[in-house]
Amino acid sequence: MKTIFKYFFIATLSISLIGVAHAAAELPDNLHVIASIEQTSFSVDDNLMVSVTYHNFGNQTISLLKWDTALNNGLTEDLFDIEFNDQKIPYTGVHVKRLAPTRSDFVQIAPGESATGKVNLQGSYPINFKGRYKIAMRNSGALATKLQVPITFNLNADRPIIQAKRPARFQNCSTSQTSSIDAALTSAERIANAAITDLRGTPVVLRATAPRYREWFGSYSAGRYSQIELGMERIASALSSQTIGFDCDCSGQDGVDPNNTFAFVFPNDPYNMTLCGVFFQVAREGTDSKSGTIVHEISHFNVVASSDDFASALDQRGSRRLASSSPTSAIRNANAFEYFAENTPFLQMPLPADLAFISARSSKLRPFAGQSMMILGVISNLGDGSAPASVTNVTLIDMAGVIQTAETAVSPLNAGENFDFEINLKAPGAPGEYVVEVCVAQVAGESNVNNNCTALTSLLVRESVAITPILPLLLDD
Amino acid sequence: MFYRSSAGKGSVAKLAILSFLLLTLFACSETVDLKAQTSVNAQDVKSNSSVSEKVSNELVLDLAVDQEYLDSGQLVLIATLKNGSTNEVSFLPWANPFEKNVTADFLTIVDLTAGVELPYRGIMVKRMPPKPSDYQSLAPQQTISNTIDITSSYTFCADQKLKIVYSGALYNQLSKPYALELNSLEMVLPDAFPDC
Repeated sequence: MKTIFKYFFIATLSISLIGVAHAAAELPDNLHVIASIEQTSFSVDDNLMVSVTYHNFGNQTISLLKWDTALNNGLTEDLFDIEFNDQKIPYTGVHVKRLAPTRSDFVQIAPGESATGKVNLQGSYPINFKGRYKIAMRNSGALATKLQVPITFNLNADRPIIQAKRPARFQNCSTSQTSSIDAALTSAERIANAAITDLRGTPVVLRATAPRYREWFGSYSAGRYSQIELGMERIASALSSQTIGFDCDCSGQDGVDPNNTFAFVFPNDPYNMTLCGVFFQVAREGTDSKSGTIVHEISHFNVVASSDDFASALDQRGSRRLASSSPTSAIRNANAFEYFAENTPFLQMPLPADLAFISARSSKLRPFAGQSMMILGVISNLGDGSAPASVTNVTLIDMAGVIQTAETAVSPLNAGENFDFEINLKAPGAPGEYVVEVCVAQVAGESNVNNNCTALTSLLVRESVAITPILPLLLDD
Repeated sequence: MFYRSSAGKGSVAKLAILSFLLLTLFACSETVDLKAQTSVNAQDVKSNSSVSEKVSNELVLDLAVDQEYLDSGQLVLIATLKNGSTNEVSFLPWANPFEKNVTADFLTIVDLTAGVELPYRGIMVKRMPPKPSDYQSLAPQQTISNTIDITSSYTFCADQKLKIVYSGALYNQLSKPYALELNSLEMVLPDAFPDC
C-alpha cells in the first residue's frame, strides 16, 4: 500500500555502460544499482549504513570488479552524492592505488541474480551536523536523473567534533591575565560553536526571517548567508584547533591607545592578537566581552573571514545601522560576527520543528458500514523550534485507492508540546478491509518529514445490521 | 614637495561636474555608494561604506605623496581635507588618513602592472565607541593636512606602478558618512624600495 512504500527508500539507477570495469561510472550493461537504507533517522552513535544491490537484468553473467563498488570491504571511492542544506558534502575517504586485479577481486553475478554490499558513510563523508541529508548514487550526466526516489535520512544531533585542542600561548601576561584569557578563550570557543550550530541548524526556508541573522548581517541572501556560515565555521574551527597567541603588552604599537582599545591584530598573522586595557576591564561574556573580542579578532585573519573594523559600527547601535543600510558591508563587519556570537540581548535563530505522531488509533476497529467513528491520537513537536498551525488529515484507502478523507486543524506547537486530535468520520458504506493513514501536514523548515504520517491497523468494516438500531451498539467493539 | 595626481586643483571644476552627474545618476537609488562619488575608476575602489544616507557637504579629500620620502623608500601620504561649505564640519579622525598611524584598511592600492590589489598588512583595532572629544572640527573654508606613513601597511616593491584611492569614509557624530570629493594617485616606486 501507499503507506508501506513511504517507509522504503529505494533508489533505482539503470546503468547502461559497457564492459567489466571497476569505477562506478563504468558499470556494465544491464546492471541496475539499487541503494537503500534501513533507517531514516540516525543518532551520532549509529553507523550510517547504506545497502547497495547490483542486479543483473541481462542474459549473461556479469563479472564485476569489486573495487570502488559497495561490494568492496569499505568505501575506497566517492560513490555517493550527499547533500546537506542543498550543498554537496565532499568525499573525505581514502583513494587507493592498487596492483592489477586478481580473480578474487571480481564477483560473478548470474542473469537475474544480485549482489549486495553494505557500506558505512561515516568516516568517508563529514556527516556531522544535525539535520536532513539527501543521498544519491554518484554517477555521470543523465544517468543520475534516472534516480527514481531520493533517499533521505536525518542525523538527530550534532556530532561532537573531536579535535586536539592546543594550549594558548601567552606573552607579557601576568598570572591573573593568563587565567582570565584562558577562561575567555573557553567561552569564545563555546559561543562560536553555538553560533555555527545555529546558523547551520536554521532551515533554509526560515533564514530570510531569522531575527538574529537580520539584526547583525541585514537582509538575507543565500550567498551572504553562506559567507557568514563559512566565516563562523572557520572562527569556531580556529578556536578549537589552533594555537592562539596572546600578547598582553599593547603599549608599543603606534596608533593604538591602550585605554580605549580592546585588542588588535595583523590580519596576515594568524592566530596572534594583542590585548589592550579595555579587554581586561570587560566581562567574560555578554556584549563587547572578552570572549566576544576574541571572536572579533579571530574573524579579522585573512585565513578566517577577512573581516574589517568599521568606524561607524564600533558598537551595537552602529552595527545594527550598518546591517540595515548595507548588508554587503555588514557581512565584513568584525563586530557583526562578535555580536552574533555573543547574542546579547538574546535573539532567535529559528530552529526546525518536527511534527510526529505519538499515537493514533480508531475508536472502532470493526465498525459497521456507515457507522460514525473517530480517529484520535496525539501529535508532538519533537523538534527544537516552534511549529506553526498545521492540519491533520485521515485517509481511508481500499484496494482501489483513496475513498474518503477528513481533516482537523492542529494548533501551533512549541518544542516538546503535544496536541490531542480527534477526527470524526463515517465508516465506509461497503464492508471490507481498509487501511487508515493519518498525516500531519509538513510545516515550513520541518527537519524530519518521514514521521509525519502513520498507518493504523487495518480497519475491518462489517455489514450493516438494520434489524434494530440497538443491535449495532450491542455488537460494537 | 608633493607628487600630485591628475585630479589636482585644476580639475576641481571637472570633479564637481562629474560628481554632480554621478549623484544625479544614482538619485533614484536609495543607496548612494561612496565609490559613485569619486573621480576615479569606480571598479578599483573598495566599498568600505555604503550607507544609505550621506551627509551632503562640500568636502574635498586630496591625497598626495611626499616625494622626498618616496625617493628614500618610504610611502608617506599627505592628506588634505578642505571644508568648502558654509557650515562647520565635525568628523571622526579614526580609520582614515587623519590619524597619526594607520589603524585600518582605508586605501585601495592597485599594482597596475600586475593588475592586483595589494593586501593590507597593517593592524585592525577594536576600540571603544568614540567620545565627543574624539571628533575633529573643521570651520567653513578651513583646510587641514596630515601626513601618514603607509610603508609598513602594504608590501611595496621597486618599480611597482601603483594607483592609490581612498576607500574609507569620514563620519560625523551621528556615524553618518560625509560625501567626499576624492582624487587618485598614480606613481612608480623608485629603486629605493626593496626588490621583490
